Amino acid sequence: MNAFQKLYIRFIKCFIVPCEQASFLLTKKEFEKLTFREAWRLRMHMIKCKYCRWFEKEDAMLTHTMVHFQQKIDKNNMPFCLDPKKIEEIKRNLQK
Amino acid sequence: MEDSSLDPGTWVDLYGNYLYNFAITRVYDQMVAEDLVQDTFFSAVKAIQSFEGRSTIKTWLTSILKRKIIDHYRKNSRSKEDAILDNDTFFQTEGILKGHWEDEHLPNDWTADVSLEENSEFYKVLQSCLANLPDKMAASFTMKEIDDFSTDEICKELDITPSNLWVMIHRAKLKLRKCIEKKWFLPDEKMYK
Repeated sequence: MNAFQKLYIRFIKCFIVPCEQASFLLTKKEFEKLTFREAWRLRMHMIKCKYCRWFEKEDAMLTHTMVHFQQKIDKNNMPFCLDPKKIEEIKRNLQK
Repeated sequence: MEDSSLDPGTWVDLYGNYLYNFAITRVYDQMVAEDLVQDTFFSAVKAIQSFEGRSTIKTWLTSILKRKIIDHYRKNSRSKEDAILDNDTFFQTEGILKGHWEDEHLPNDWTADVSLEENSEFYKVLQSCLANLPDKMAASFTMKEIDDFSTDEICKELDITPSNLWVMIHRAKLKLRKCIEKKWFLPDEKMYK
């Protein structure tokens, strides 16, 4: 690979990051502000890559489901049920 | 009414199920959740003098349980240090497509099925997938997504660095989506393998 090709690859990498890095940046974005360079690369990637767009949507859906059911529990709409035997056991143990 | 709610004997019936749901959606294990609920009641009975009536009993019990859940995370994350070092590869490691999704991990367009967020069967599958994650990974994911802890708090409790945390949550998401796809979207295909 000659010097010109290396330069060309570095130039391309300014615009295109692989999916591995793009999906990681999606996660990192939730914690802290991306640098300008990261944000730009992520945006370029998301424009061209439908898989990473789907990944973002899937993730949002899973998170939303978790939060949604948490709100249900807060409103006394329980998806799980404590074993009645365990309830009796706790009561017995409490009386000791 | 006030008097009866201060009687520990009635707490188990009134709040047991709520606390159990609260716990199991954070620790993903029936036995552990039951034990945490029981511990919560014990601690509450012991500390009943310190209950000042500023909050409701339910809020007070929940705050005790929250602390117990975090202690549980800490205990588990201390005993297992290898949460980040699992061997799954989600992306191609060589060739011209290095860094591109592996075929079996390609994300899919799930959004066609919009009713899933309401579906409790789907939620139970999601819970079982969360239960399959390594402990530390599940703990950090839950603290972040459900309880909205700050990065500092998560890192302090689980004794990890922020960049470790991002990597762990990223991997948790990748594992979860794969697991959901296998168990929910393509269950038939799994049977033939």
